[in-house]
Amino acid sequence: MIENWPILSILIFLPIFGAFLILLIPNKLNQDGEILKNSITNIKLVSLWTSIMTFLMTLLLSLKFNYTEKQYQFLEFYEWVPSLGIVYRVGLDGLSLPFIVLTAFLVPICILCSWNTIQHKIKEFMISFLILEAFIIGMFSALDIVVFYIFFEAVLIPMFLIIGIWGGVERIYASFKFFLYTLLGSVLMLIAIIYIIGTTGTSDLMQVLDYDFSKTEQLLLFLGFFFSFAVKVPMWPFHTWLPDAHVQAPTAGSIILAGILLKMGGYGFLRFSLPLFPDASLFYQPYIFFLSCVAIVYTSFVAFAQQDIKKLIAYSSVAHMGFVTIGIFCFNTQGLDGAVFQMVSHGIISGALFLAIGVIYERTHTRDINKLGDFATTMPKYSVFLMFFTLGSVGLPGTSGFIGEVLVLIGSWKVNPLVAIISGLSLILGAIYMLRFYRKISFGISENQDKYEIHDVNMREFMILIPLVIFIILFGIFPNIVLNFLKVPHFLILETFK
Amino acid sequence: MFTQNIINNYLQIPGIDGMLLAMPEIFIFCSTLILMILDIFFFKEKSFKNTNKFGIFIIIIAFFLALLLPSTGVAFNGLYFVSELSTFFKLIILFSIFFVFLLSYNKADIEGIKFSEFNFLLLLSTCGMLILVSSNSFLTFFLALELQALPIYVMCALKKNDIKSAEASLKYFLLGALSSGFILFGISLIYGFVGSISFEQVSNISLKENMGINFGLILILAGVAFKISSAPFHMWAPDVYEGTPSPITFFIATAPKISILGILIYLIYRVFSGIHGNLSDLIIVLSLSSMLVGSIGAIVQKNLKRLIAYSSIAHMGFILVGMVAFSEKGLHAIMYYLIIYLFLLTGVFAIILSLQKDDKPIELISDLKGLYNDHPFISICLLIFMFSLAGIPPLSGFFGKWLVFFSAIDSGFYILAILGVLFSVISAFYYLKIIRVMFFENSDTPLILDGNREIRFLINLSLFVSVLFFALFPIFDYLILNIRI
Repeated sequence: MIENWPILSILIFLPIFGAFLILLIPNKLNQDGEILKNSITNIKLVSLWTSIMTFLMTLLLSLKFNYTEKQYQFLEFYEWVPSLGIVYRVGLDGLSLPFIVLTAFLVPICILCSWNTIQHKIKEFMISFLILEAFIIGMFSALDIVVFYIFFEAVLIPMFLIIGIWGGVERIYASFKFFLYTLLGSVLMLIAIIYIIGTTGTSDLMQVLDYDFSKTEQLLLFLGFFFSFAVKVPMWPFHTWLPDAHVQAPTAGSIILAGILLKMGGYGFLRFSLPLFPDASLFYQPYIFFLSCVAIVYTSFVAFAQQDIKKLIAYSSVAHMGFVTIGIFCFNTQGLDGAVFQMVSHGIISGALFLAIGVIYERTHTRDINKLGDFATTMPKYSVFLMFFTLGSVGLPGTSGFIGEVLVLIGSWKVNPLVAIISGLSLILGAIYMLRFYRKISFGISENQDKYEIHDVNMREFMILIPLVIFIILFGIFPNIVLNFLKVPHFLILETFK
Repeated sequence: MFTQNIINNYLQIPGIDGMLLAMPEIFIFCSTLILMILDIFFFKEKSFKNTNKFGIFIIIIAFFLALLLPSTGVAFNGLYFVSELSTFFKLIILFSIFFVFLLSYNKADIEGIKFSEFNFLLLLSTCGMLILVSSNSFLTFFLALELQALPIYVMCALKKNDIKSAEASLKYFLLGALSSGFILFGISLIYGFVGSISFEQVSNISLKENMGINFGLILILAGVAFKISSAPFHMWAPDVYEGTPSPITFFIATAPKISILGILIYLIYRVFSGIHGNLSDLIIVLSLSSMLVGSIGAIVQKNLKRLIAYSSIAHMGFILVGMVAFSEKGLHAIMYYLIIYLFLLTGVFAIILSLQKDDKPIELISDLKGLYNDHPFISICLLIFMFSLAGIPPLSGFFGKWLVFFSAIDSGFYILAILGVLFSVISAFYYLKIIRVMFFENSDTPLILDGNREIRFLINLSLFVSVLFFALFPIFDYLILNIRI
C-alpha cells in the first residue's frame, strides 16, 4: 500500500508542514513584552520532532531502497508546465540517498545545539531552518533540471536570513557576500539550463541524458554549470565567501553550511556535469586537478595561520573539498567512491567540529586560539570528543576521514601520480594544523582562563556529540554502509565515459 | 456570439459593430462624464470617496465588457481594432487601475490628493490607455497617447502646495511633451514616405531600404522609450517618482507603461515586422542600457521611491529583452512579466502606503529600520516581494526573468541573456539592502502601521501571487498560450 504513496514528496514537504505548525503557535507576550516560555518550548519541540520524523522517514527510505536497481526509485511524476516541457519529477538513486539521510541527520542536531544559544526570534529561526531542510531535500531528490535549479537557489533565502539575523558582529557583510557570490555563480547555470531546454525541448533529466551534445556545446555548457558548483564546493579561487560566512554564522548555520551546502556543489558535478558533458569533463580534467591541488596545499597553509578557530575549520573545509573535486574528476570507481565518501564523512566531521567550537564559544565567548586552552583538565569529556573529531579530520585510519582520502588517492594515482603525491602531501599538512589546534585547545595554557566559569558538557550536548562520534567510527570501520549505495550510480556514470 | 446574432438580425444600424468592439472605452468615457455631473450635484460631503467607489464600479463593469464582448475585429474604417492580445492588455490595465483606486481609497487624505478630480482624471486616462492598445492607425495612436498622458500631468500636480509635486509634474509634462513631439515628427516622416497612416498599409509596404521610414521609426521608438522610462531616456523617472504622491507613483509605474508596451509590441511584431533586423539592434541598446542604469543607479539611492524608479528602469530592460527575441515565446514572456511585475509593485506600494513614521508617509529606505520588530508580518511580506523582484526562486519574479531569458536564448541572443543575468545579480544587491534595513537593524522611533481593509487585501493578494506563482503557472500557461499577435 505504501508503495503508491508519494512518499518522497511527503518527505520534502514534511518540514514545511512543521514550519507551518510553528507559525500557528501564538506569540503570547507577558507583561515585559517577552514571549512566554511555554510557547518557546512548544516551538522548539515542534521543530525538533518534525526534524526527527523527517530523519526517521529517510531511514525508512534507505531500508526500502534496492541497491541493485538501475532505475531511479520512489519516482514521482507530474506535469507542470507542458508548453515549456517542465515536469515535476523527483526520485532517488544511490547517489542522492546518502546526502538526504545526512541532511535529515544533521538538522535535528542543529536544532538541539541552538536550543539555548538562540535567544531572540526563536520562532523565525526554527521556521527558516525547517524550510531550509525542505529545500535541501528537494534539491537532492529533483530529477528535473528546472526543479533542481529552483531548489538549489531557494536555499539562499533561508541561509541568508540565518547568517544575517542570528550571526556575529560582521554578519551583514558576510550574508551579503554569501548571497551575491552564490547568486552570481548560479545565474550562469540558469543560462546553461535554458539552453539545454531550448535544444532538447524538455527539462526532464531522464530525457536530457539521452541527448548527445556536440563538443563545443559541452565545453560551454560545462562552464555554465561549473561556476555555480565551484562557488558552492568551494573550489580555490571562488572560496573567499566561505570563511566569512562560517565565522559569522551561528553554530547551527555553520554546521548546515559545512555539512550540507558545500556538498551541493559536489553532488551537482556528479549528477549533471559528468553524465551530461562527458567530453567536456575529460577536457577540463587537468584544469580542475590544478585548482584542486592549489586549494589543498594553499588553504592548508592558510588554515595554519588562522587565529580564529572557526576560520581554521573553514579553510580546512576548502582543503578537504579539494579532495572531493579531485576524486570526482578521476573518472574511475575509486575516485568517485572516495569523493562521495569524503563528502559524507566531511559532512559529519566538520559539522561535529563546528558543534564543538560552538560548545566552547557558549562558555568562553571567544574563538581566538591564543586565548583558549587547558580544556583537558577543565573539560575532560569534551576533550575526548574533540580528539575524535580532530583525528577524523586528520584522516586517521579507523575514522571515516581516512577512507575517503585514501580512496581518492588510489583513484588519482591511476590517472595522474603527480596529483596523488601533491594531495597526499596535504595529509601531513592537515595533521600539522589540526594537531596544533588540538594541542593549543586541550593542553595549551590559556591567558585568561580564570575569567570564565567552565563546566563540562551537559546532558544535551553529550546526546548530540555521541551519535557524531559513533558515525565517525562506524563509517571508518564499515565503509560499505555508504559505498553499497554508490556502486550502481557510479557504474552508470562511468559507462558514459566508455 | 449570441449578442452578435441579435445585433446582426435586429439592429441593422451602420457602425454598430464598431461600437460594440469599443464598448469598454465608450462606457468608461460616458460614465465618467455622468459621474462628474453626479459629483457636482449630489456628492457634497464625501465627494472623493463616493467618486472613488463609483470609479471602482465603472472599472469592474468595463472589465467584464472587455472580457465578454466579441474579441476580434476592426472598426471605424480601420482606425481601431480588437484582438486577443489587445484584450489581454486591456484586462491587465483595468486590473492595475482597479488597484490604484483601492490604494487611494483611504490614503488620499494623508497623501494630500483628496480631490474628486483625481478619480475623473484617472478614468479619462484609462480610457486613453484602452484606446491606445487598440489603435490601428497612427492617428488613433497619437490621440490616445495624448489622452492617456495629459490627465497624468495634471494628476502629478494634484498636491498643490508641495514643491516637489509641482516640480515632478512640470518635469513630466515638459519631457512628455517633447517625446510626443518626437513621436509626431516620426509619424509625419512615415506618412510622407508611405503615403498612409493606417497600420495595415504601412505593414504592407516593403520598408527595408527606405531611410526616411527608418528614421521616422527611430524617432517613434525614442518617444516611446521616453514614456516607458527606458534608458537613455529615463531621466524624468526618478524625480517624478519621488515627487508625486504614492498612489499616483504606483499608477505611473504600471498602467501607462503596460499600455505603451502593448502598442509597442503591436508595432514591432506586426507593423514593422519587415525591418525587425534594424529595430532589434536599437532595442538591444535600449534594453542593455536600461539594465545597466537601473542596476547601477539604484545602488546609491536613499529615497525609497527613487530606488523603485531605478528598479523599474531595470525591469523595463528585462522586458525589452523579450521584445528583442521577436518570437511567440518573447511575446508570452513579456505578458507573464507584466502580470508578475504588476502584482509585485502593488504589494510594495501597498506596504509603503500603509506605513507611517512621525505621522508622515515613509520616504527614505532608512525609515524602514526595525520594521521587523514592529510589524513582523508586513516585513516578511516585503521580504518576499524583494526576493521576488530580485528573481530568486521559487518566488514569482524568478519565473518572469526566466521566461524572458528563455525567449532571448531561444532566438539566439546569448550575449544579451548572459549580460542580463549578470545585471540581475547586481540589482539583487539593493533589494537585499532593503531587507537588511528591515531585519538586521533597529530603530528608536516605531513605525506605525495604518493599513485598512483595501490595503490588507492588496498585500495579501500580491503575497499569494508571488509565493504561489509556481502553482498558478500551469493556469496562466493555459490562458496565455493561445494568445498570438
